Amino acid sequence: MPLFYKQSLLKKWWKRAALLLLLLLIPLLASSPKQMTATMVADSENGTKVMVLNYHKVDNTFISLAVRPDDFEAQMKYLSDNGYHTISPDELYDSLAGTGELPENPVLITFDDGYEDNYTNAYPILKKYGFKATIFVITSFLGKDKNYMTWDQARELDANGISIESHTVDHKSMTDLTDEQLRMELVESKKKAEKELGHPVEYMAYPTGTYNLHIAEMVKEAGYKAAFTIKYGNVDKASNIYALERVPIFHTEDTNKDFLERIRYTPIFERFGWIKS
Amino acid sequence: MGFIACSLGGVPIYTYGLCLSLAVLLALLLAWGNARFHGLPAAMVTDMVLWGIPLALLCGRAGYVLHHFEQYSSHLAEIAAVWHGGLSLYGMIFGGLLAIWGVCRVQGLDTWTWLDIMVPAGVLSLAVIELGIFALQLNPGLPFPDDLPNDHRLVEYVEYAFRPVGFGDTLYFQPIALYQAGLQVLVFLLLSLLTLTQRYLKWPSLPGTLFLSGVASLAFIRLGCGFFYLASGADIGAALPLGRVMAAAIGILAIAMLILRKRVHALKLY
Repeated sequence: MPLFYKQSLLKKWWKRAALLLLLLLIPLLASSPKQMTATMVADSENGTKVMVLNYHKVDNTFISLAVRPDDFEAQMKYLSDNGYHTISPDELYDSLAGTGELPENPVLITFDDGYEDNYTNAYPILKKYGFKATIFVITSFLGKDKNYMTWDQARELDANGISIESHTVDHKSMTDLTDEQLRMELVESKKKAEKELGHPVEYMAYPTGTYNLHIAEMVKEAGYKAAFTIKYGNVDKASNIYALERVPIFHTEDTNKDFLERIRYTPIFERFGWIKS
Repeated sequence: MGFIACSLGGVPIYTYGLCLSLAVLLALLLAWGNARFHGLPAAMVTDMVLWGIPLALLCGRAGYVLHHFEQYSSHLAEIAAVWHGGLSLYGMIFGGLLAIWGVCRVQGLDTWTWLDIMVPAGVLSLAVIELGIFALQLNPGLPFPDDLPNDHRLVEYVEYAFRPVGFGDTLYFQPIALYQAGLQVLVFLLLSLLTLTQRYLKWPSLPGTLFLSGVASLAFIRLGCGFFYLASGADIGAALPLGRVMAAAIGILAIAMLILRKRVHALKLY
């Protein structure tokens, strides 16, 4: 055995400490075996990234679409405590069109369908934190189905910083419809909402998130300025204005932990090119 | 499994990096045990791994950058940003081998003997890394049609955000990284068996046989699995992707050296 092996105990432990340090360093450095090409594109090229949160129900029914009011409040508190600023769809549109400035850490809070609990449970919490939000309503359900809000409630929300927009007439998956049905869903829901609210309705969300380029073109023809999907990601100037990304928030085993992971890591996923590749 | 395992004070801890650390730790423990089993000083293993980690990272990064230099030519500062992703597995293996060779050369040890000591640990660590790649959906294989029959075949469901470019609507892919990890575990078991026979039955007697057998097996596994890779280079018009060419070349070279091992041994490559 070479003399070298008779190393001092001190040297031996130094080496083991160095080894441990290297082992701890690897997880900080090695992110992936593949280069993410999006990393070479500076964030500034595509402007500020806007997180669009997508909720549905806010109540205590144990379904994945229903975030519990306690969890919703905790999430709003987190946004408030961490310097997020809620924006309206108009502010988002103006920013993407290059005609408006966004506040720091912008976030657009959206709800799909127009459930009554949005009015009874979510609205008081939003009001408490002074937050804006947007509700995409299924126009034929409002005032007719007891699970959905009434038009009076919608008007009250609309007058208090909660934008009411279209989620079509009947919430049918748009890829299953004929052109005529599509036109009816898009135009009639817009007309109905505008009549009830007394101002233009210019944004919509695709029911079930399904869409294609043809549908997006029809959305544009119907007079909408932008449309939201359930495609996971944040919105920036590289986004398709008729297929804007959102970050869905569901009830899970640990809703708030998942919420934090989604809002913290979505920008990082994007930075590394995992989203919008 | 998340791309980022957790964050400490805002610093992300990468899951892939944790897989690498786990692989190195397993290799280290196994190689320590194997060295002692052969009556050799385990401290040498520490030295090899101590040099091996930085060299593997350096060579892995260099290999990746050289292979994809068109992506870095106008962003040279990006070369140092290893945390942005991009580590060649071939480069990392080369870095590890370089460390073993260097320590043996400095200490006057028989390189082939030590390559035999280290190879089972190295193969197991590769299997761990490959499992990590599978769990992270980093290397999906060829796509399956969505109307997949329920015939219990193994498939990999890849989440939307992780699907390769052009495959946004494809749900299921060949779990090629999982297959590769499984085959690498088999090679590890074979090498472990050969380690026992070498120790107790003095067969195979020639130093380097285990290492070359392991290298040849891994190379041909990589070559075979390469035909099921989605990112085979076909998308960029390559008739024969570099990975497969290298795997074939390394496999043939290892076999040739095995056949000529007496002569190779006579060359005393250390």
